[in-house]
Amino acid sequence: MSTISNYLYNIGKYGIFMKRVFSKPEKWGMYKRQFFIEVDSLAIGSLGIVAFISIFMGAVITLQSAFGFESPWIPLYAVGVASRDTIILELSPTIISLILAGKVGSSIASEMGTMRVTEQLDALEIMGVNSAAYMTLPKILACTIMFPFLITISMFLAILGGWIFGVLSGAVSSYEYIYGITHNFKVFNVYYSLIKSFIFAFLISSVSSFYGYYTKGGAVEVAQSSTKAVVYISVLILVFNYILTQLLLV
Amino acid sequence: MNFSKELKTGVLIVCTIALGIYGLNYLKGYDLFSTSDEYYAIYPDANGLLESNPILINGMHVGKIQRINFVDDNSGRVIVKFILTNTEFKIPNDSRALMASLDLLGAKGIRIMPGTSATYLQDGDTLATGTEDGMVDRLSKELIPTKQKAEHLISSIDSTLQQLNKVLNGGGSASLQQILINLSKTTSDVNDLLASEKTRLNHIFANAESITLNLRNNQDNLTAIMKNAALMTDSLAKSNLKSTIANADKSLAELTKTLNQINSGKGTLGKLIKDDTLYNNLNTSAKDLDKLFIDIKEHPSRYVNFSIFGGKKESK
Repeated sequence: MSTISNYLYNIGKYGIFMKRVFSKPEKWGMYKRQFFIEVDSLAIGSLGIVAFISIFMGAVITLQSAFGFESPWIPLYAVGVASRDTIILELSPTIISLILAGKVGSSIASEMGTMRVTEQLDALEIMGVNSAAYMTLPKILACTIMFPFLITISMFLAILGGWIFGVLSGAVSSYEYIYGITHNFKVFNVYYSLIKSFIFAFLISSVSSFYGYYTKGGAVEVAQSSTKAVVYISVLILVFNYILTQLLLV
Repeated sequence: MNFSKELKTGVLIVCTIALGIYGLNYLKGYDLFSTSDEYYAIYPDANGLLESNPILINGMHVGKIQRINFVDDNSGRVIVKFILTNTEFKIPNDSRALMASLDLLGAKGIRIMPGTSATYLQDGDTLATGTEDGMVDRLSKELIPTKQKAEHLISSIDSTLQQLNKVLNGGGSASLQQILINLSKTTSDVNDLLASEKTRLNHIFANAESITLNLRNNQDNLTAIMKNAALMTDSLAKSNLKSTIANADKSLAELTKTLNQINSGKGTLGKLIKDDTLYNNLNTSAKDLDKLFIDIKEHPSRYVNFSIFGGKKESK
């Protein structure tokens, strides 16, 4: 009972926090500057790890598909089809979002938590700034706008990585892979995956801000809220992944 | 060189959009960075043909289908636009674009059968079309009669089973069970018998074996016997058996006649058998003889007169 009411309490608190975040900004210019700072640190800063993970993820999924389809009944271009669909539907939006939850979520939560425990947020409040909105809204906007771009890059690189490593290892020929990835392609899958990554980006930025914003105490609590943020974001991403798939694809 | 954050963001967004557009088009079957020739083919039925399906010339992959649309005249025909990225082979203008099944999964494609004309198709031309029976089409053509036969078979099996069910439900089941019980009893009896008579059976088999062994050992003798028998029957067949039998028959007829005469009491033998006078006479004679012997025994002196000391009485 207490756990359920605790969850409901947190959801309600999150809702009120969101209302504060999306209240009318005092000064747009301040937010704009903050937005580009966040884009630089959250999105462009994640470009390297996203690219690296995507290329190897694509390579591994291609090799695994080629290994799994070792049957004379299955044409080898099915490797391309399977890799493309797995990457576009699930690996790029969901796995990369989970990675970003770890990287971006923990950084936002610990940043906000530290600002809270060092009373910087209180200082902003005293200056008459809506601290929740000022600190969180640029992050949410940066994430929700930029993460779909990251996911697009990720999809591109993963399919490219699958092609490079698939052909280099000899698991699949270049023609078959390319025929596979262009075979019966549905554009909606890409839109679906971008919608997913938009929602995941919102979850990552808002939930981690929420946990960071309401940190109480010192360094240990900052670590705790950062951990909590990452755990809850991961759970929420998986739950929303199911819900969105069910809503959009089925 | 220090880029501003805005510039970096802008570069990222623009690059990603460009990448996304290129990637999407590539996946949809358009390659923005390669020159290619476009051709058209009109089919009455798309029949599972999809965008980005391959174009083959003599088994060589030379391009892909870019777009499939209905023809503008509302006839329901489809116009297939395809691009050839490999333009080394010039297509003669009497070539035909055949819709073909490429694999077992039913993936379709267009196979261009090159013609023999010396003039070649230009970019944007429309090819003559046709269809090629794929493996699946051929299979399904052959499968339909087989399926009908199978349906017949299944329905007749079904009716048979229904009959069987009827029999089994109408007390047949109990009878069958009884039969099985009896059979089980019989087999167990046979088992018992075999167990108890095992030694005898063994003896029998041993004897039979020795008999057959003897037969085999005496095969030569048996052959000789058979030969002799054959010889004998041969000679029998050759001998004048028929006349012999006829003579015997005649003799027997004579004999019958004689016996009939005897039976009717004719002749000496007949009298001997039928007339008891001789017997009576002999009997009377025997009785008289008996009386005589009795008399002789009682009064021997009437008939025999002898004396150890000489014949005094005789003299008297």
